[in-house]
Amino acid sequence: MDSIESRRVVEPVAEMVSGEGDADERDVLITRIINRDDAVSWERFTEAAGREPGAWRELAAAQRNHAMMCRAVLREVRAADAVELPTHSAAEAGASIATAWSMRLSRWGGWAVAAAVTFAWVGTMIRAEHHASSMTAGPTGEGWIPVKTADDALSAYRKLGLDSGRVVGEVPDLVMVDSKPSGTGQGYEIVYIRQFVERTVVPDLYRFSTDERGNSVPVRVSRPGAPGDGL
Amino acid sequence: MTDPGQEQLVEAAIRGDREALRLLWHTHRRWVAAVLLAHKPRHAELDDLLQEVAMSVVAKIGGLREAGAFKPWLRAVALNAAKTAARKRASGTNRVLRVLGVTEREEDQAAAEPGEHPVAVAEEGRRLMALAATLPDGYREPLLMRCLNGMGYTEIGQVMGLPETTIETRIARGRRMLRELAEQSGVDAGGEGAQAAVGARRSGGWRGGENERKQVSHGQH
Repeated sequence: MDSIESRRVVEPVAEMVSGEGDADERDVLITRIINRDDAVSWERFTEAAGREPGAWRELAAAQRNHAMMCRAVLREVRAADAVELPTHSAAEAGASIATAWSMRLSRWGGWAVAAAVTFAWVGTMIRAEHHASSMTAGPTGEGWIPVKTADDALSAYRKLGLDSGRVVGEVPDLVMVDSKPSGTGQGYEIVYIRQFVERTVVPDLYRFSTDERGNSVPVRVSRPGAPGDGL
Repeated sequence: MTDPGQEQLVEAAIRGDREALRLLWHTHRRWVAAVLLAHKPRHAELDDLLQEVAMSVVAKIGGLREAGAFKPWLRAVALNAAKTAARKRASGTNRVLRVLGVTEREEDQAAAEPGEHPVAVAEEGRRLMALAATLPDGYREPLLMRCLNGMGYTEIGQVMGLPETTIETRIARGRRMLRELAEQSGVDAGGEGAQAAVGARRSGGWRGGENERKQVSHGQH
């Protein structure tokens, strides 16, 4: 499979390092010991280290560096296991941004919030639960806001959300996911994502991890400094 | 590419076989992640870049002309994603909430040797990875890919379009540079002994690391 590594047993180091000019023989031997731990490399390294004992310390440092860094690398690249290919139709239709967003949102879906967050929409009226006094009394009584259009509803949501602390703000940039000439022959019809940042409090937080069989499992996130916390 | 099974899969994927492409992606996505790690700008999130590579793979696989060129083609897709990210300004709105969860801590615990603090071990790994990010392109990429199981010199060479001997040389030199950088920055990888050894080597007959780093930074990538 890996022909260099399989040839290593019989091939002299000097012949192995001709790829980009001379490489340091000891570096190559250290690398081979790390990669394969084969007897021939050990024998040659031991011989070289007999002439310069510091080589043993170099080997130890290289082995430790390799082990430490590779643990970190492996942890990072495991992110790839959660990335699946999008459907052909979406990609080929050029809806890359929309799909990328839907994929990103699905990843956010990995955060399982134990508390139920319920949005209650009753007809075209939004109940002002907090700070009712700051609202203008509507035609149906104290604490009710008249809503006749989508813009009214959005303004009411923003206002009430900011007052109650639920809405942190609105992301100023709209993300366009599609555009096409409008049916009227004038201008363009665009589809975009509008983003609000909200805040809430939940009793527990989970993130998805994988068990030893590769199945996705929710793992409770520990509160920093909580009793029994590992850190 | 020498694996006929892989080549058949690639040909099927080029013809539009979704399952073949899915299998290919599952086989190769980890080294794609390693390539991205080696080239991505600091502000870019790895999983965002992986999503972009996945999108490009689906959209562009039909244009691949030679099945044998799949690995270098896939690497080129990853490099393009990393370069595009480098051109973009880091955007706070694209950040995904991240929390150091229980799982990571359990992994740290498992990775630590007896007597070592798991968080310190994990932190040292991250520092080494950060140091590796300062190595010249042609060195850090094979160094990171070699961390993955199954990525031998042959496969890394196929991905990078380089001879196996070159890959071995680069990994050997890269590891030496990393060792020297770790010593300079005080990362405890091997303790005082390792530092003394590196120092002795510089003053002795071994080639100097600094000069070589400068030389390869203009490298043969």
